[in-house]
Amino acid sequence: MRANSLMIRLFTIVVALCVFHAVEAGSSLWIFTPLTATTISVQNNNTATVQYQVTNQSTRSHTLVMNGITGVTQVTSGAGVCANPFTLSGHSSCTLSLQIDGSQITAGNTDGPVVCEQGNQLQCYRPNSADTLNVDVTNAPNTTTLSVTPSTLTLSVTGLTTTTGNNSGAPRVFTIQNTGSETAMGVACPTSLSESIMSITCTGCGTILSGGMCTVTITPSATPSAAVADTSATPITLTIQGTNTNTLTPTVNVLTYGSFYQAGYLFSIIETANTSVSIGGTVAAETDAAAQSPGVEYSLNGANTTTAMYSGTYGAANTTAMLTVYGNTGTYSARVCTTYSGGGYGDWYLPAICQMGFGGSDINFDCGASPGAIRNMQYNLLVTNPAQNFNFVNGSLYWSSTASESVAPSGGRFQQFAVGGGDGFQSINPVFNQFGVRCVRTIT
Amino acid sequence: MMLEKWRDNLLLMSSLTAATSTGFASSQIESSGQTTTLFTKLPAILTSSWVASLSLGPVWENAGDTQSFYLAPNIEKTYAANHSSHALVDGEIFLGIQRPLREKLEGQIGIAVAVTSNASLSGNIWDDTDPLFNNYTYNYQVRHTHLALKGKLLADSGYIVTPWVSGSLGVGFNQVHDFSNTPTISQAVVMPNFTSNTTTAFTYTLGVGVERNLNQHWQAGLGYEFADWGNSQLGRASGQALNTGLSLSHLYTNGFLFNLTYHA
Repeated sequence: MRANSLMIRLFTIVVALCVFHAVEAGSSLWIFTPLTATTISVQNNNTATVQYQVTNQSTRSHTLVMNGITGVTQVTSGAGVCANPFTLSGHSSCTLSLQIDGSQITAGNTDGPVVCEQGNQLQCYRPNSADTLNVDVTNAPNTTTLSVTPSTLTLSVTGLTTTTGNNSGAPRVFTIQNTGSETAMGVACPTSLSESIMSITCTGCGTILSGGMCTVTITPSATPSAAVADTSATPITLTIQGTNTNTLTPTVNVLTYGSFYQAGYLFSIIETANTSVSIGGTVAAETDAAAQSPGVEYSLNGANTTTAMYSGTYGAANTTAMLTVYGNTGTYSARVCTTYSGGGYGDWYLPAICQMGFGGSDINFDCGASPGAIRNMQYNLLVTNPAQNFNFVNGSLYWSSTASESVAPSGGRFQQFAVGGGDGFQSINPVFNQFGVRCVRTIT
Repeated sequence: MMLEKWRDNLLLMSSLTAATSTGFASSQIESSGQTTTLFTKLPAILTSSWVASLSLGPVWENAGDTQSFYLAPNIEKTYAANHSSHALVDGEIFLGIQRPLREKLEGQIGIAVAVTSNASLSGNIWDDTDPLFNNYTYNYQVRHTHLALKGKLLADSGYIVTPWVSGSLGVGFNQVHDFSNTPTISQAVVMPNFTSNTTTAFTYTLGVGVERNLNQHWQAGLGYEFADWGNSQLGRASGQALNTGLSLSHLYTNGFLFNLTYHA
């Protein structure tokens, strides 16, 4: 019995001591739980965000206001974010979100944030000493300026036969130059999630001395960024910047035959050897510049052709010759194109017969029996993409800019497009006949 | 001349007190309507003499009271007083007259001026009046002085020491100052302090002790004294909208005083 009594007394003493200790230890009326790092470094031209969860540990409701800290702004928008003032019922909490302005705040430990009952300094609490807002302000390096050349790079997808015979899909290069007087730092190599870009590699970026350069090489994949016949495709935008530089946003286009680019459907690709510039090529206008009905004559009022119009491949030269001979007035095939303004471009011309299709020949040219020998609309648009009509009228006749030497001076060559594939048809008609017109231009 | 007049007045007052204590009823004085009755006691008055004493010793205050009150809407705190007691130094100068009241009984009456050192009061502050949020300690000082009418009865029975009892009534001045609060956890922020304040209060003392003659004029003694300093109150703190600072209705002290008396 005496042993039991002694044990009970000891237990009572231990419990009493624990209770006494709990009372003596104290506890914040409201506590601050860091949701972010609270010891931070911020540049004097930058901002940072620090957040605490504030929890009312009392059973009583409290309406709280944070004491002001120069350079610290309380953010009051967002789900669960504390308003100003903010009321916490018993044992509830909210997120105290603070924006730190590096240009305004005084470096060091703020010993805060201090939050008081209705702003009254008679009842205030702060985070524990390890969690108070401690800001190190660093000087931002002097800024410098980067420039990028070219601002847009157009590449071809891999796996195509091109007009120049070079393999398509050649990697192409942006050149970044530091044109400012300070060293550019932290120039990061850009990244892209686009499936049209196989890889991006950088050389000499990171730190770029004043006047120095770095290169960003884009390697395309087999997937175009402008899908065939998609007239609303947008280019891929890359972001290039350093910690003390402006932000560059060069764009990348990855094209295939049938991609809509610079107001037309791409049917010829020139894989330029200089990889610091875009590919070349030719596009066909989105729609006919002259409809099949009533159509337009080859020459003005059926005037005779000249030898300057005989090229089977150089439509631009033929067009120029036609404007010289027939004048820059009236309505006829070539002038329909030179006055065409599709996409805002003013450099449209009437294509030569071998740019339009294949299989035809005259005294001075042969478009070739092989459909792709010369890149043309019939093959690279309609045969390659039989599901698309590219707004051609199937079986209808379109003037080319190529005059017929064999039927000179009154014959011009026309193309009959075969929508859905096939060879189409090329032949000669009197220049006073009225056919449709589809203009082309060289991409820039 | 002024001093002699003041003494005559004091002697007269003493005679009235003595008359009461010796059974010489004041009613008898008043009802007689004859000044000759009073002056029959003049020989006794003329046996009165000046007496002055200095008392000094340690006293202990009884600490404050635990109290809870609102300082502003939604801000209520409990001030839990510590019950530890601190020793103070209490000193008193008494100037009066002494005369025999009856055989072996002497009476003294006069003016006492007392001064104490600072009483330090402390405790803990609980936010929301909840001991869970016992996050501050507080401390403040009370300095007490008083001016009182004091009487003392001495029983001279021929022993080696003479026992006495005393009592006083008067006006006290409680200067409450230097309130401070100290957080006990790093998260708590120091609050504005209550402001200093001086209150005028009713005060009284009761004492008992013994003294011994050193020679014809000097006596030395030791006594116990209980004192009530009366009420004291701190002023409002900055930001305080409700109630006043900490206040006490009474502050009691108990102590031992050594006294040295000169008897003319």
